[in-house]
Amino acid sequence: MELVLVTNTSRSAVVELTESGKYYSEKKYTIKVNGKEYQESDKQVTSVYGLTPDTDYEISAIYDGKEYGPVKFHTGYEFVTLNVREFGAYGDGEHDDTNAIQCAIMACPKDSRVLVPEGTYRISSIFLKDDLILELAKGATLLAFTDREKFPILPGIIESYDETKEYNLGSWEGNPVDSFSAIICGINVKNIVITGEGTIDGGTTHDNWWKNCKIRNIAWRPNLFFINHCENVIMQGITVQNSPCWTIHPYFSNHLKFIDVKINAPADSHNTDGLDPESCDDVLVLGTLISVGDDCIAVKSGKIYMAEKYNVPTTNMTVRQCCMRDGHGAVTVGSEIAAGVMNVHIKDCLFLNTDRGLRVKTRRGRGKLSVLDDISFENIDMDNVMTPFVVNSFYFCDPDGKTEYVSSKKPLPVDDRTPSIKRLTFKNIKAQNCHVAGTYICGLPESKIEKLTFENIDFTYAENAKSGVAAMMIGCDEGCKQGMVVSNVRDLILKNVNIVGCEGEAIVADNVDNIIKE
Amino acid sequence: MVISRDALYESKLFKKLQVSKEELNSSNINIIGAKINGLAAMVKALREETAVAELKKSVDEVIESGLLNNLPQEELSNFKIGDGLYTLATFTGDEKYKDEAVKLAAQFNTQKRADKGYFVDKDGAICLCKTYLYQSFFMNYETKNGGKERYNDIIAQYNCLYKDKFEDTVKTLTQDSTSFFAVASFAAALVDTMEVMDQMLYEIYRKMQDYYKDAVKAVLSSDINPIDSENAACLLFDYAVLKGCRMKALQTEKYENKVMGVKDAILTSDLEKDSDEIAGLKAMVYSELIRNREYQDYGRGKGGALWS
Repeated sequence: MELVLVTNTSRSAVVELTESGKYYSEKKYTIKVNGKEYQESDKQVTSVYGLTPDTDYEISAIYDGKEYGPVKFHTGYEFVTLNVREFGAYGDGEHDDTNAIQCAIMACPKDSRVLVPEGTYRISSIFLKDDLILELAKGATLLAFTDREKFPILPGIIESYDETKEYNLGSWEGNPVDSFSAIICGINVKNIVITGEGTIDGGTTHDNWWKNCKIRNIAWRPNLFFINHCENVIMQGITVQNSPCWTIHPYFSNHLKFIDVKINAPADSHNTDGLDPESCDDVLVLGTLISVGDDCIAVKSGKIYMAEKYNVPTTNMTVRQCCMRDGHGAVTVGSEIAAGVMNVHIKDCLFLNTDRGLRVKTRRGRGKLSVLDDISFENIDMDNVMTPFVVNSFYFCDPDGKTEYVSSKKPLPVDDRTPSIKRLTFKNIKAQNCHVAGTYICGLPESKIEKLTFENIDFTYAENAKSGVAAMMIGCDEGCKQGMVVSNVRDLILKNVNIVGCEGEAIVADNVDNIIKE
Repeated sequence: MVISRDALYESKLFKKLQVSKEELNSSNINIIGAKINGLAAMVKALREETAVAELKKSVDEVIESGLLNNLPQEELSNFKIGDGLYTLATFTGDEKYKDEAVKLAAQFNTQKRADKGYFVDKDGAICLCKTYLYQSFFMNYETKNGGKERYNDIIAQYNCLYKDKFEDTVKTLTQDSTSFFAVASFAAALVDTMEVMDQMLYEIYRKMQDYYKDAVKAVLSSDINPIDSENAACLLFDYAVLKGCRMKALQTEKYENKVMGVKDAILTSDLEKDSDEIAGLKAMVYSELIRNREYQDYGRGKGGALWS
């Protein structure tokens, strides 16, 4: 066990107590700052606030009677603090404070912070700028309006005058189309930190953005947080909730960290994915709690137009020490993955009550650039997950998703529209109280999944298991307590896989070239 | 530039475009389709009950005449009335018109195809111009009632026709008036098809936009003068360009002025002397002239329409 410094600003720091649990520590422990008791923590990753700029600090953890650390660091230099109240914000939950907060942000010089103190600030859409620290203090809430007439629009494509290039701003489900600007929005900006104990609340209910939500109305629904072509962005500590649709949507952006963030939306909210990096590189999600109405994390890379035009996959992503609750998928890859997803690793996480653990959603038509490779899940505990692992190559939730071309189980010719899945690895997984199936894996018959490795896997089933549909595809019937259902795979490697309590065959393999058991 | 409405011209258009008993008796679906298309364009541009009533009157006459139950077999012209049926269904909310459109669309299941897969008339003639007769209705049907099952068929037909016929047709643009008509029709078909598709199948949308721009540029880079109020090819082309500007498929500031001469040309022409086909096309051009092409207004205040 070790205490390590994850990150710090001029006013806050984040520490991680390694190897003491998954998201939650096995025991509560005490954080000390410069020798004084700061707070108790029951999480692996803990934020510390109230620090002063340009100052030496030592943080230690007292766990089970033993001291870990201290970690020593020096907080960053801070030039000035811009308190949004001094820019005219009311924070009374009634006035529109958008302009006042935007003014503070635009006026913020380098090495400075914009502070949103306690209060409820009504906003529509706020835009970030370079070199910004935006701190939401404890008790501060940015509460968004839900009247679509108040929101600006990001056009999908603006063509260059000479017609040789285009400028893409808006995005919706993998296509460059007109969408409302996010509540917090960054376009071509860098070096951003959004930190604090406050909240960004989309304010969405079934009477506004979630009503008739699949119909474009003026433009497509906004994200709560959208960054397009941004670099070096850190979101830390804050709570984000009740988003109109995908909550956090980094898009063609690199070097991103989401640390100790709390992402919430009701289980019956529509398309409220937690965190959807799309065509991004170098993404860290650490110590984050996600409980939403759709996928908790969904890794994406656009639909086929964006893939053919820009070919930017999502790469080099790590998710560690996170807890996913109540979503459709804990970590999903897809369905907009036409430029591929590579080198994504999920470690030391807790999945609770989600419909699925891993969820790969792809289909014919995603294209030959849609290559999924080197995706791993390691040291994961799951409880009450309907189906821990689902790979669905016949995903039907697109405008043309229920066509014969997408749903045919017969091999079709491999062409420019055919996606592929290469290596998926699952290691040290404990999934208890499963319901529908242990795994439900369907590759394409004409483009088999190349290598699936399961190592040290324990599946047990709920006593009163619920039946359900493992994958959103035509031909997947309702089931209960199924074992491993695997089809259209080249190499299936099973090392110490224990399936206890399933009904019927433990492993049902169809069109699997090699099953290697160790 | 958006021109002001001309009430007198509009009333002349409505009068001219009413489908007559004689036309119904002659079963000339091509002429009837041209008139209905003109009226439907007016309805979409004006969004007024009086315009809807004019379209409804003509379409009801067509339905009551039984013409739609006795259409000539495998004629692509049959589909020309389809978009008008859907327009009326949208603006009146009456399912009867949607049902008639669905019935008409059944012909797509048996329509004759060329070896390459695109639809052809009974006589098998292949021309880019044929797309104007059926593709927008095919797309409209697939979007509204066909489950988008045949979006791939639609784009495959465009792909194939473009590959087979576009280059050769463009080569003879200035020598052969039928080539200009073919390219103008192709551009109009594409922009009409784009208008009624689900834009979320974006790669298909953009492919059509590419073909559309190629068609427009081919004409504009030739010696053809696209302003002639009595020439069907010119009117179709002008309509296609104006509509493309409105839909942001073309940059208004670069392209609109290439065809704005059509405004004076049609407003000063004598509608009474026009053939029904030309009158229908003039209604389509006029409908575009009076709409906003300056910027995308996203239908704010109009229920969030996709284009201005």
